[in-house]
Amino acid sequence: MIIYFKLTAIFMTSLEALKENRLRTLLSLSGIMIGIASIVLVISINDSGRAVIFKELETFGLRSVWISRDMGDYYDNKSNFVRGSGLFDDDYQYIKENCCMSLLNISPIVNLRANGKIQIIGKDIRANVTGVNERFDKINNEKLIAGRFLSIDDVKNDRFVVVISQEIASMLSQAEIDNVLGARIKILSNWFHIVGVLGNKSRDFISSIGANKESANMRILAPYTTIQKINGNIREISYFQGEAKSISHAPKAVKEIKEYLNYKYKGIYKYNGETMVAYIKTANNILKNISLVGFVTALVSLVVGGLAVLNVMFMSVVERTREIGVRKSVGAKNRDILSQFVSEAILITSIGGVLGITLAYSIISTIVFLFQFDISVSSVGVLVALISTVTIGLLSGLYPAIKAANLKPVEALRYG
Amino acid sequence: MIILDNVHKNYHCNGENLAVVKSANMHIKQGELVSVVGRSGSGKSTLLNLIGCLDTVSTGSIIINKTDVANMDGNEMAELRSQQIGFVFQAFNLIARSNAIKNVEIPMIYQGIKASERVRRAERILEKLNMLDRKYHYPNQLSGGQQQRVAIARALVNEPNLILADEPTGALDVKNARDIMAVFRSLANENKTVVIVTHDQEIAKMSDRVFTMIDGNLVEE
Ligand SMILES: Nc1ncnc2c1ncn2[C@@H]1O[C@H](COP(=O)(O)OP(=O)(O)OP(=O)(O)O)[C@@H](O)[C@H]1O
Ligand SMILES: [Mg+2]
Repeated sequence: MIIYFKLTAIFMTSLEALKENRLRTLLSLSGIMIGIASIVLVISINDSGRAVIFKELETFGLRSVWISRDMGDYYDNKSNFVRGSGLFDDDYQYIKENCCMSLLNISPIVNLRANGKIQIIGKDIRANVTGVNERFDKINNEKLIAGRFLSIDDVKNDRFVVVISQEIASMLSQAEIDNVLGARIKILSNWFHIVGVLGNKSRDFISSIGANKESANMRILAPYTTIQKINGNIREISYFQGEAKSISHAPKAVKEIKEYLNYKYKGIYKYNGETMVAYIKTANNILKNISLVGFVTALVSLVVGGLAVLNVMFMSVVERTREIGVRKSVGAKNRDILSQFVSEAILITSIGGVLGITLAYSIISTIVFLFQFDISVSSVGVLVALISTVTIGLLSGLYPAIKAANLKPVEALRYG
Repeated sequence: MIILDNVHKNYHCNGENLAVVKSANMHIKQGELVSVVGRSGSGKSTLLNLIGCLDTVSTGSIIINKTDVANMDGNEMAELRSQQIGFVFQAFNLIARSNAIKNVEIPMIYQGIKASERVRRAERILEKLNMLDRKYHYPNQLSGGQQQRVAIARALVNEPNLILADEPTGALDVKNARDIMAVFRSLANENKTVVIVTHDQEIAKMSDRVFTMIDGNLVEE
C-alpha cells in the first residue's frame, strides 16, 4: 500500500514535469511516434497483404500444376513440325489411372476453338468457355454458390450443361442467382443448360505481377467432352491442370507427368510444366521487401526517437539537479529518484507510442477509405508497438535516471 | 540528542586540500534551541549539512540519537532524513513548478503517505505558519518571508525530532524574523532539537546556547 501511494505520487510528479515542458516533450516523442506508427503499419500491411495475396493465389489452387505443349520446337524444327497440342484423351486416362505418385487429381482443359459470342435471351456476352472434368472444382478451388458442379455423368455423356461464373449469372438475372439455374444459354450454335454458379475470384495481385491477365469472373465451364464435340470431335486436350498432394509435391508431379509424356511421344512434342510455387515465392518476396523497408524505417526512427528521449532526459536531470537535491534532503531514496526519471521516460515514450498507434490507425483508415484496400490494424502490431515503447522508455531513461539517483545531496543542492 | 566528536571536513579543490571544518565538538540535548554564528565562509553551512546527513565527515563522528551516522549507507541516511530531520535551506529551495501545498507534501511522498492524508497534514502545518490562504500560490507568487514559512512547513511536516535551519531569518525584516524565531522556540518547547545558523547576534541571543565558527573551529560562548 505504502509503495502504491509512493509510486502514484512519483508518477503524478512525472506528469507535472512533462506538462511543464510540453513543447520539448512533444518534440522528443515525435521520433518515437513515427517509429511506432511504422511498426504498426508494417505489421498490418504485411498481415493484410499476405491474407489478400494468398486468398487470391488459393483461387488457383495452391497445389495446382499445369502441363502443356511447349511450342518452342516449332522454330527449331520447322520442316518436321507436327501440329497439335500434343495431349490426347488416352494420355488423360493413363495419367489419371496409372501415373504420378505426387498427383491427387487431374483435369483435361479443352478450349473452345472459336471463342465467339454467346447469346442468352437476346444478350451478347463475351466469355471464356472452357471444357473441364468433374474434378476441376476441387483442383481450381472453386466455390459453388448455386446449383451443382459438372458431374461424372455430364462428362461421360457429353451433356450440354454449363457452370457459369457469378458475374455472368448476375448479367443474366439481376434479381436472384437461383433464377439462372435451369435457364438455357447459346454457345456458338449450341444450347446449354445452366446447372451451377461459381463464386467470383479476385485477380488484383495476380494481374499486377503479370501472371494471369484473364478475367476470372467471365468464365463458363462445360464438360470437356462436350467442348471436344463442338470443336469437331477432335480427341485433343489443350492442356492439363492437376492438383499435387501438397505445395512441395507440385514440382515432382510436373516431373512425373512430363516423364510419362516424353516416354510415350519419344520427343515428337516438348512439354512445359508450371506450378504455383513460383508465384508463392514471388508473393513472399514482395511481402518480405515491403516488410524490410518498413522495419528499417521503424528501427531508424525508433533509434533516433530513443536518442531524442535520452537527450531530453539528460537535459531534464541537469536542469533539475537542485530539485533532486531537495527531494533527497527530505528523504527520497536513490530508487525513488530512479523511478521518478524512468517513469518520466516511459511516460514520454508511451505517449509517443499511443500517438503512433493512432497515427497508424488513421493512415490505414484513410487507405481503406480512398483505395478500398482490405487492410486492418494488426493486433500483433499494436502489441509489438507497445512492448517496444516501454522498452525504449526504459533503455533511454535508465542511464540518465541512474546518474540522477547517484547524485550526492549536498552536491546536487549546490548546483546552479 | 546530537554529539559531534572532533568532526573534520576538508574539500579537494583545484588540487588543494581545503580544511573547511577543522575541529567541531558539540553536545546538544533534546529540546534545546542552539545557534551557530560566524563570519561568511567560516564553514557554518558545511557543518549544518554534516549534521543533517546531506554530507559525510572526513574524520570524526556525528551521533544522532545514539547512532553513528558514519556507519550508515545511503538508504539508511535517507531514512534518517525522512523521519528524524527537517532541513530549512539558506536559499529556501522550493520547487518552482509546484505550489505551496505541493511543496509541503514532498517529504510525505517518500514516506508513502496517501494523497488525501498528505493534503490534510500539509494544510494543518500551513495553518500553523499562517500560510493556509496562500496554499495554491507558486513560489514566485510569494514574498521572501512567505517562501521561508513554506520551507519551514516542509521541514516540519514529517514531525522530525531535529530541525536544522540555515539562515532562516536572513531574508526577513525584524518582525518576520521574530515570528520565525517564535516558531522555533515553540518547537523546542515541544522537546524538539533546533539548530540554526545565523550571522545576526540579536537572533542568536534568543537561543539557549550559541556556538561560533572561527576559521573552521567551533567554540561555545
Ligand atoms: N564543495 C566545495 N568544494 C570546495 N570548497 C567548498 C565546497 N563547499 C564549501 N566550500 C568552501 O568552504 C567554505 C565554507 O563554506 P560554507 O558554505 O560552509 O560557509 P558559510 O559559513 O555557510 O558561509 P555563509 O555565511 O556565507 O553562508 C567556503 O570557503 C567555501 O568556499
Ligand atoms: Mg552558509
